[in-house]
Amino acid sequence: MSDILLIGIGNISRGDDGIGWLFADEMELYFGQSVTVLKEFQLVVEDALKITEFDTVIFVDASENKLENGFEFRKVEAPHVIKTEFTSHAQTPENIIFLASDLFQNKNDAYLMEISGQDWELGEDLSEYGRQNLHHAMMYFKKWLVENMNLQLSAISESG
Amino acid sequence: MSQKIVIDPVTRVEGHGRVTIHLDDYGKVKDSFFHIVEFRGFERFIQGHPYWEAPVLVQRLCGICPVSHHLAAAKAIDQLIGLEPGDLSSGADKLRRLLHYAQIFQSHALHFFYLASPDLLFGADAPKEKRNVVAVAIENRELATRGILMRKFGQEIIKAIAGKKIHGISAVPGGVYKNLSREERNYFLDGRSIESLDTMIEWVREVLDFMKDYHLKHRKNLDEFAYYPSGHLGLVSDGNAMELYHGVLRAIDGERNVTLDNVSTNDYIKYFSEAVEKWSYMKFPYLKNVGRENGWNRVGPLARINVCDKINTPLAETERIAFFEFYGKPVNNSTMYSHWARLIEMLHCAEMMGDLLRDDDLSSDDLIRTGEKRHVGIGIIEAPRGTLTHHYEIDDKDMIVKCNLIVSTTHNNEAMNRAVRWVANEMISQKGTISDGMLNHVEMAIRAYDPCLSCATQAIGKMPLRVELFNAQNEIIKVVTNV
Repeated sequence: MSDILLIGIGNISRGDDGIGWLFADEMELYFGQSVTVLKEFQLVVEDALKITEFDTVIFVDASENKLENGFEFRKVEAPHVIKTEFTSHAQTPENIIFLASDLFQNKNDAYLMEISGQDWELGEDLSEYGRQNLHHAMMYFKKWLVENMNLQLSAISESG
Repeated sequence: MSQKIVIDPVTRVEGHGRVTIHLDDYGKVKDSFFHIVEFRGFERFIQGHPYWEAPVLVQRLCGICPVSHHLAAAKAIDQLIGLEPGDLSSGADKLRRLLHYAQIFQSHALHFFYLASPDLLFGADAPKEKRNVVAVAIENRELATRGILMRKFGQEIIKAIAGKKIHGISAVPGGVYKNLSREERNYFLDGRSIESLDTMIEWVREVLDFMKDYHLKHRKNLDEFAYYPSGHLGLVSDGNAMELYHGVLRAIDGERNVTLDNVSTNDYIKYFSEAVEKWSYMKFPYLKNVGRENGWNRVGPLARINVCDKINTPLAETERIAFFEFYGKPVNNSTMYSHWARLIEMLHCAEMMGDLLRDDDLSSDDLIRTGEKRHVGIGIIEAPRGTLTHHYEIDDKDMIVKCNLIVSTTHNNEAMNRAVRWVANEMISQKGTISDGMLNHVEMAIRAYDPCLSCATQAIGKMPLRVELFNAQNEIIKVVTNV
């Protein structure tokens, strides 16, 4: 098992909400030996246990926010004060990190890749806006993996 | 001026519901409804597909209990190739049962720890931002941790048998496609890689002790909250033992008079009918011999513990006896006891999983049987939320021409409406308004049934709930929502 877990969040049947899964598919194609990939409709409580098996976890999700450059990649920290929601079904990356830390003494590094989309209709393909942002985010992230996680370019070309 | 209250959507249930409460000129509850406003129509679009696709397609009804739909469909498809449940090989039958018990175990863990425990730990009047599993984790770390690990245990067994935790595939017409090796079975028994089966049993028993203590402390409220006599329906096996996978249908009324006895699942259609109401997409099943007014039944953990005379595993049977000794009556019509009954079923499932994991038949290679084609197949099992019926008819080209699904939450439709009415009458009537605490009482009454509204209407699920208050002129005067 690899030391890196990438969780693509979304729904391929709902337009730009499929961005997280398409991102995950691409990374599995390029870094399949080095990155463990999961695709989920939403984060759930038991993900807090799952992420403890890895040194690094990357959450990837589409966003309604209009981000500069079309995406934002940032570190996720366990909040000091948890923001609880009315529902137990869908959790935020921050809540997952909090639960992993609080319940399972997890200390891994976590990051969130947030990618802007605009169309979320059932049965629709990605919008052109979402597709371009996804492309730029993937380019950035592949480079980041090579430079920061010591993944070798040769590994990329062999698996890709 | 009379009023109407609407709760839309209901939180911490699987799916999307809406509650409306109508008040009269004096602020007294005139009527109340639990509306199901979504519709997906699985029964229709599965027509035209070859029958062997059914167990794969129908499990997409739900992300919580896909295994239940998979197995109910598989039992029906077995009949389409001429096989009754007893015709399957011992290995295939036991593998399906293990899959089923694991499903119920993980689903009950999900409901109890993630959905119900905030009500028990914080009370109905707690602020809404506290009524969720993250708050449980903050306040009671051990409970939350165990909840996650118990759900994981059931899901890991599902993955071992069906390949995936959600929407995996195990059953094929006439059996299952793979067995479980001794090593795969030991993984769940030896406690080296994950918490062992014995630990699961120990933890469920500890939660049961917590539940009994909770009932002692809150007895009056739990006895009275959403109490109403009703029918109860479930499967039983020999000696009216609780049966979750395959048995005969049995129903009792609110006094424990038997209203349906020893009925083969193949004959369900002779005994049940489904009513419709213009304000809900969800149907209202009832027993024909009792009639629409009184022939409705609760299903699920409380109903199952009511209709059976015993449980065939020792620890769960001891707990069943304690359950009725505490309640003091031979049938339990108090809605909030559903949570206690659910935990007893978790214990039963854990015991059954232990027996099966130690059974070498699970490693057998004799997995698939064949028979003579039929045109009608009916599969009924006890899903986590109650009795689940799949009924298919095919043409000469093996294409499905008819599909009838009666899911557990559909049986509980009338019961949930009665629960809402009870809360409306007891806690909202003549108050003239509705507070956030009152809203949560309505939700608690519904939540005890662990409804899966997505399944019940075959709907694309949205989760949130909202309550609206209407006056006599049918104007909204107040809305309370959790979103």
